[in-house]
Amino acid sequence: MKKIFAMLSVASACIFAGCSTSQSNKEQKAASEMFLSHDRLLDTAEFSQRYPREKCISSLGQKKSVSKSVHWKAVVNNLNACVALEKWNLVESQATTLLETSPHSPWGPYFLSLASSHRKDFGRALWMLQLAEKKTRSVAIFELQRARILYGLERVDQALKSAELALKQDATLVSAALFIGDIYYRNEDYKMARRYFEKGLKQNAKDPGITLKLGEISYLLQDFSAARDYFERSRSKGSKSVHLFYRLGDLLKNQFNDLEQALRAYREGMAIQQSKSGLDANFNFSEQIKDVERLLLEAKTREVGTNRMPSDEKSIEGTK
Amino acid sequence: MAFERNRNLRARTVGRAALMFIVSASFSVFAENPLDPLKFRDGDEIGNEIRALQTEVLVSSTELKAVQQMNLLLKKYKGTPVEPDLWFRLAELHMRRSKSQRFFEMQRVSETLVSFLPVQAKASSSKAEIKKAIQYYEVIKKRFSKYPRMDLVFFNQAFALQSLGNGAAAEKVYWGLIQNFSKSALVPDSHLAIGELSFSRNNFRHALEHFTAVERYPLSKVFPYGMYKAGWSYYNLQKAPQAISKLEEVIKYGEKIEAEKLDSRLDLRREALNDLTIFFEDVFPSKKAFGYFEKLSGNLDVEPVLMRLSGLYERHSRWNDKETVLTDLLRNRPLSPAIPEILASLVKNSDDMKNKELAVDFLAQLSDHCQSNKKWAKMQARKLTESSANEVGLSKVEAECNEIVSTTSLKFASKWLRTWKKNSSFLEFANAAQKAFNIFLINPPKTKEAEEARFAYAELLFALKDYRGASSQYALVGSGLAGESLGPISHDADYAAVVSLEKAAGDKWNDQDEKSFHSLAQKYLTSHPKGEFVLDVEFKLGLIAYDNGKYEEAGPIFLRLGRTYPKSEKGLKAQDLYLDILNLQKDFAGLKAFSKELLAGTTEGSQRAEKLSTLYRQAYFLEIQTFEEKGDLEKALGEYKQFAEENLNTDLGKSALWNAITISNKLNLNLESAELGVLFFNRYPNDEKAKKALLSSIDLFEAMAKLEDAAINLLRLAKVDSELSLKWKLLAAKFFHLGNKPARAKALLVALAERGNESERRDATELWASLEERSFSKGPLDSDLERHIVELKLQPFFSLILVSRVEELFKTAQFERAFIDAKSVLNLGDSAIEAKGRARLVQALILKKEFEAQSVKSRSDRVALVLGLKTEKLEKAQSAFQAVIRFKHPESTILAMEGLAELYLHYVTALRTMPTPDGLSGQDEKLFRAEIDQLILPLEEKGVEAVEQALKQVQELKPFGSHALRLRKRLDELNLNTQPRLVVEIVQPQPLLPIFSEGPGA
Repeated sequence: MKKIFAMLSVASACIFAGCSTSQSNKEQKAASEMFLSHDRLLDTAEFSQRYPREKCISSLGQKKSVSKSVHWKAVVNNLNACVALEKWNLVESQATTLLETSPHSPWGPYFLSLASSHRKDFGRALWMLQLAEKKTRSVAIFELQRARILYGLERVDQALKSAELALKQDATLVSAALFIGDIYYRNEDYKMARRYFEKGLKQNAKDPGITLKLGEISYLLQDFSAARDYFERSRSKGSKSVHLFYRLGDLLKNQFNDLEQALRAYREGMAIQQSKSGLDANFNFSEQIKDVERLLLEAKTREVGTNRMPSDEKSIEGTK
Repeated sequence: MAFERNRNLRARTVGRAALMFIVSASFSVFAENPLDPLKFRDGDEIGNEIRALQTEVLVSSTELKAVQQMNLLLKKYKGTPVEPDLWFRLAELHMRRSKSQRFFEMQRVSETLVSFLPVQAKASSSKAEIKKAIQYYEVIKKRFSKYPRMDLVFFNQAFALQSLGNGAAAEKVYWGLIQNFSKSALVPDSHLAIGELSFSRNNFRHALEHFTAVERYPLSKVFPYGMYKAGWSYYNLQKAPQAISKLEEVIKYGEKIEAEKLDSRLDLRREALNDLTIFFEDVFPSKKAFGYFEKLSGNLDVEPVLMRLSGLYERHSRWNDKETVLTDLLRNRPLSPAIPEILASLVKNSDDMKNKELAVDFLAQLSDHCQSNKKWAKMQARKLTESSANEVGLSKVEAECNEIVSTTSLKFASKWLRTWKKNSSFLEFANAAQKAFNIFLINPPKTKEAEEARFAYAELLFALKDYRGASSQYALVGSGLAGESLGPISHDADYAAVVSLEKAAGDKWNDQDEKSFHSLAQKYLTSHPKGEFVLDVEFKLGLIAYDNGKYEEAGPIFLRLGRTYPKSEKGLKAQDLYLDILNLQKDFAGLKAFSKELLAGTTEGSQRAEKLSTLYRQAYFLEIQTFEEKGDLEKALGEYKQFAEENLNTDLGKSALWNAITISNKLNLNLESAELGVLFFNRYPNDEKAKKALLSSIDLFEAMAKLEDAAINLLRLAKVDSELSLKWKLLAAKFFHLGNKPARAKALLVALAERGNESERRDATELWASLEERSFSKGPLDSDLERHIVELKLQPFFSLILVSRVEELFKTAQFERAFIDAKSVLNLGDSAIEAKGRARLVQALILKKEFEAQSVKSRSDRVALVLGLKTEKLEKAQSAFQAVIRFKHPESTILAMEGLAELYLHYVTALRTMPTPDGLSGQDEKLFRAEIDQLILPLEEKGVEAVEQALKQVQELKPFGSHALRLRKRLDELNLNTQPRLVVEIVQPQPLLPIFSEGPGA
C-alpha cells in the first residue's frame, strides 16, 4: 500500500509549476518552515487551562478574502480551541477548508488526523498524518500523534518508538516521556521507566505523579534513599496518593526505622483513604499504624528503661 | 497661313485704297475719314476679310466708273490725237480691273464672304478684263501705228498674253517688240521675258540665247538677272562650269554695284551664291566648299550659303560631304551666329549617318555653346547690343540658342526613343535618347511639351531600369510649369516617381531613400487625393516604415487603409500588416480588438473569417499571457478560464484550460486546479496531457484530503491507463475507505477480488485485508474477505484466520478438532510464525487440560502408575509449551512460559491435595506424605521460577500489555507477598496543539 501511495506522489508531484527549480524548492521549504514556526506546543489540558475562555468560532476559516499570511494562523488557533472543546465536526470542516486555502500548511491534515483518531478511525488518522508530514517534515508533534494513533491501534511497540522519536525531537514533551515511562513501568522495565519519568520530571518538576512513580521505581529497585526522596517530593507537591503514604510509611518504618515519620505517613494515608469512597484492602493502614505504634511503644519502653526522658513521652503522646 | 493671307490682303487693300483716292477724288462715301472702317483690326480675321472685300468692292466700283468715264472720253475724243492714249489708258484700266476680278474670283470659294459680294462681283472674270486689255492694245497697234509708246503697247500686250498663259503669242509679241523697237528700253526686258518663257518650256538653249542677249544691255535693270538666268540655262544644259562661271559673274557684278553704290541695279549675289551651291555640288568636292564660298561671299555671310550647300548634300544623302562642309564651317567660324544651326544640322547629319554617338556629341556641343558664360554666347550678345555683352543680350542669346538646343535635342530624343520602343534590342537608341533628353533637360523651356519630354525621359530611364534616375525625373515633371496643369501626366509622373524609387531601393531602404520616398509619396497624396494609386502609395509608405521597424508610423497608415479599403487586396494586406504590427508590439489587446473588428466585416464561414477568428483567438490568448507575464496571475486565470469556455473546440481553448490549471497551481488554488484538471481530462480525453492533468488533479485532491474526489478520478484514470489500471483501482479503493466511503471501497475490492485475474484478486484481497487489519485481532472479519483470503491462501492473513478458527474451537471446548486443525496450521510455511506459535499454544493448552484432568486418586498399589500417567501428561504438555517458545512469538512465548509454570504448580497442588491412597495408614501414610513432599518442593520451585522467567521474558520480548501485571500478581501470590504495588495505567498523550501568537484570533 505504501508503495502504491508513494508511486502516485512521485509521478505527479512535478507536473505543474512550483517544483521545477531548486529555487522553488527552497521557497517551498521556507514556506513549510513558516508553518512550523509556532510559539509553543500545548496539550489540550494545558490549552484549556491557559485559555479557558477561548471559543471555537464556527465561521472562521471560511473567509478567503482575509490575508493568507495571517489567516491560516487564525484558523489554526481557532482549531486549537475547537479541539480543546472537542467540537470535532467543526475541526473537520475548518481543517478541510484550511487544506484548500493553505495547501502547503500541514495543519489542515494534522487536525483532520486528530479528529479521525478521536473517532477511532485510525487508518484515516494515520493517512492524514502522513499527508501533514508530506507538506513539511516530521516533527515531534506529528510523531506524538503517530504514537497516539498506534497506541489506539494497540501497536504499543510502534507507539513506543514514535513517542521516543517525538521526545528525541522535542525533549520538552512531558506527555511523551510519561507515556513511555508508563509503558516501560507496566512491563516492569523499571530502569527504562525511571529514565523517562526523570525526563518528564525535568520538564515538570511540580508533578507529584511523576515523583510518585519514580519513588515506586526506586523502591522496587531497592534504592530506598531515592525512593524516600521522591515520595517526600510527591507528598510535598500535594500528592493524595494512598499508595504514596503507604509505601512511604513502609519505607520509613522498615528501611529507615523512622517510626514516627512512618506513623505520620500511615496516618496521613489513612486520612486520605477515608476521605475517598471505599477502602482498598491492599492498604491496611490501621494494621500498619498499630504495628508502628507497637514498635514505638516497645522502643519507648526500652528507652525509658535505659534513659528516661519525660519530654520524649510528651512528644510521643502528641503525635497520637 | 491665315496670317500670311492677312498680310497680303492688308498690302493689297492699302494699295487699292490709295489708288481709289487718287483716281476718284469725287468718290466719297464717308464724310469723315472714310478709310477708318476699312482698316484691319488685329485678331478679327473674318472681319478683316470682309473689310478687304468691301475695300475691293469700292475699288472695283471706282475702276468701273473710271472705265465708263474712259469710254465716254473715247467717244468724246474719237479721232483726236489723245485717242490712242485714251485706248492705252482704257487697256491699263482693264488690266487693273483684272486684278480686282481676280480677287473676287478667289473670294467666291469662301461661303462666308460670298454673301457679302455684290451681284456684279459674283459674275466677275479677270481673264475677260485681260482679254479686253489685249483687245484694246491690239486696237492701238492696228489703228495708231505711230503711237509713240508703241513699244510699251507691245510689251503690255505680250505681258497680258503671258498672263493668260498664252506664251507662244506673248513670245511673238515680245519678239515683235525686239524686232521693231530695237532702241526701246524694253528690249532687254523682252529678251528676258522670252528667255523665261523658253526656260519654262525647258527650251534652255533658246532661253540661253535670249538671256545672253540681255548681257548686251549692261545698263538695263535686268542685266544681272539675265546673267543669272543664263547661268541656270547652262546648268540645265549640263554645262555646270559655264553655269558656275556665269553665277560668279553675277556675284562680281553685285560686288561692283555695291562698290559703286549702284543701288538701282539688281544685286543678285545672294541668289547667285545660293544657286552656286547647287552647281558646286556637281562639280567640286565638299572639302573645297568653305574656301570657295568664303572667297566668293566676300563681305556677305558665308554661313547661309554653306548651310544651303549642306542642305543639298543632305537631300542627296551625301552625309559625309555635309559633315565636311559643316565641320569646316564650325572650325573656321567658331563664333558665327549660325553655330547653333550648324551644330543642330550636324546632329541631324550624324543621325542620318546612323552615328548617334556623334549626334549626341554635337548635341552636347550645341548645348555647351548656349551657356551664357561661353565665349560664343558673349560674342553674340555683344553683336546684339553692339557694345559689351550685357545681361539682357546674353539672356536673349541664350534663350534663342536654347530654343535650338531644346528643339533639336527633343526631336532626336523623341525619335530615338520611338525607334528603341519599336525594337528594344537597339540599345544604342535608348542610350542616345537618354543623353539627348539629358541635354534637353539642362535648360528646358517652360512649356508643357518640355514637361512631357521629361516624362518621356523618365519613362525611358524606367525602361532602362535606371529607377533612381527615373524617379528623379518623374518627380520633376511639371516643376517647370508654374500653376499650369499637366493633366493626367502629372498624376502618372507623381505615381511613377514613387514606384521608380521603390524599385530603385529594392529590399533595402536606407534613410535617404526612405526620406525621399516619404516626400514623393506625400506629394502624390497631396496633389492627387483621389488618385488611382492613393491606396498603393500609402500602402507602400506604410510598408517601408514597417520594413524599417517604424511601427508607430506604419501602424496608423495600415489601420486607415485597412478600414478605408476593406474589400481591396491592398486593404486586406494593410489589415494583415496592422495586425502584424500589433503583434510585434505585443499589443495583444489591440490585436484582439482589431481582429474582432475585422471579423465583424467578413462573411461568416469564409477563409478570411476563419483566419481572423484564429488570430482573434491567438491575440486573446496572448493578451492573457501578458497578464501572466506581468504577474497578474489572478486576472490571467480568470481570462484563461473564460477563453477556454468560449473556445471549447480549439487548440488554444485547450491550451488556455491547461494554463489555467498551471496558474491555479501557482496560486495554490489547489481545489480549483484539481477541478480544472478533471475538466481538462473530461473535455479533451484524447489529448496527450489529459492523463497528466487528471493525475495532477488526483494528486491535488489527495493533498487536500479530498479522498472521495481523488478516488472517483482514479477510477477515471484507470479506464484510460490500462497498464496501471489495477494500481489506480486499488488506490481508489483505499481512498474510498479512508474517505469514509467503505461501501464503495468494498464494492470495488469485491469486484476486483471476484472478477479479476489471479494477480488482481491477490492484490485486491491483500489491500482489503490490510484495511481490515484490526478485524483480525478484534473480529469479526468480513466473511467475503475471509473467503477470498482462504481461497487464495493469502499469507499472513490466511494462517491468522486458520489459527483464529482453532482458537475459537478451543474456546468452545472443541478440543479434539482444535488440536487437529492446529496441526494443519503448524504445517504451513515459515511465513506463518505467529499463527504457528498460537496454534501450538492451543495444542499445549489442550494437553495442559488433559494433564490437569488426569486424576492422581488411586489405590496404594497403583500410585506409581497413576503418577506415571500424570507425569506423562505433564511431559506432553511441557513439551508442547516448550515448542511454542521456539516459535519466538512474544505473546505466545509468554503464555507458553506461564503455561509451563501452571503445569508445575498444578502438579504441586495435585500432589499436595492427593488423597491418601487406599490401604495406607499410620506410619505409611506419613512416609507417603513425606515422599510426596519431596516431589512437591522442586516442582513448586520450578513453577515459581517459570513465572519469574515469564516475567523476565516480558521485559525482554516486550509484548506490551497486561502480561507483566498478571504474572506479577501470580508471583506475589506464590511468594505470599501482600505488599501492594503501584498500579500505573498508561495514559495516552493528549493531542498537542500548535500555538501561534500572530493571526486574527490570537
